Amino acid sequence: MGRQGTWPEHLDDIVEEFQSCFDSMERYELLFQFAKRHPSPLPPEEWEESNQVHGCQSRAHVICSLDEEGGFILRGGADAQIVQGLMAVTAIAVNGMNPSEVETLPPDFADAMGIRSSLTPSRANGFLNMFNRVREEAGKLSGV
Amino acid sequence: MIEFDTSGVDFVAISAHKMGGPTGIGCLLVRRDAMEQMGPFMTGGSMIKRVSTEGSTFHEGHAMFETGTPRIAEAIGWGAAVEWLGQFDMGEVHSHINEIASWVAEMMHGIDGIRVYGDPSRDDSSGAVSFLHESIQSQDLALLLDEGGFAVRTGHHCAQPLMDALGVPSTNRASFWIYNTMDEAEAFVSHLRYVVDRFSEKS
Repeated sequence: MGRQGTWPEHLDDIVEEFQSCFDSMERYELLFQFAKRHPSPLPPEEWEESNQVHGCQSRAHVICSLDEEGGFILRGGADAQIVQGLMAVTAIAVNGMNPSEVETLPPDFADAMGIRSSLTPSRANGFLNMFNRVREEAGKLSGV
Repeated sequence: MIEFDTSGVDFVAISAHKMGGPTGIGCLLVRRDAMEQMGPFMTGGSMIKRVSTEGSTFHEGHAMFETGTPRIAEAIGWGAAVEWLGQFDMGEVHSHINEIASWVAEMMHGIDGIRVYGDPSRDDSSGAVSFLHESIQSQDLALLLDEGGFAVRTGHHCAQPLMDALGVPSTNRASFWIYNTMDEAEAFVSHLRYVVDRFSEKS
């Protein structure tokens, strides 16, 4: 686990980067940058009803799988850059983890980054819906 | 003014919250001959004449549709809103709203990447300015405008056929009303310009 909390250690620098932002506009700017640096994006051609995250104000899709070594992979796509950025950070957090660890990972990193507090309740719920979906999928994959 | 006799209109729906009243209450004005063809859609207190094991009879007219406990607080609140609106000349209100909306639309035409849909300067326009930026997605733009204290509507506005016809997935919409001032409109345009400058190339 990371230096400051319940998230994986490799997320520490990112959490600190967000914490050092001057204001929420700067945090959004950073999310826009992460949207472009998504490690495992899901292109719109693969967006389907079955992989859509419901309860999100914008369109968001996720597909979860395991790599050859049994590490978790979160592929995600969204039409809004801010949502895509949140997905990118989440993917950076969970990719390569054991699915049973993903299943129990709390969303504390998003709080520590100051992201959830700057979102309106319905958008924060959208993030939680996405995060819960990922944990649910991890639960299914941890038994495989 | 709606002329039921000459316009051919059968129904007019009115929402209280669109005229300064509370949410959760509205009314439906129904042409008398259309009302005669309608039956109850929900049963309950206040709309029943007599209930028996063989069948029930209902009140006629609007009472047939007013089932159960009415929305008392909302009705009183709506009444207060109607009374408050009574002090204004609606023609002047319309001009005030259209003046702000037209000015905002004109300013938006000068912001790189913003496209305005419709023409708020038309006399029959409603004071709403629909727009979209070519690279900042509508939800993102709404959130960034929100940061400046400006709430705009976003999404398909429950009008997907219109979005399809315009060839866009969604639009943003800024609406102005009786209480808005030109100072607020200027602040809105200035924040929009700032957001577009700061975020357009990053999308």
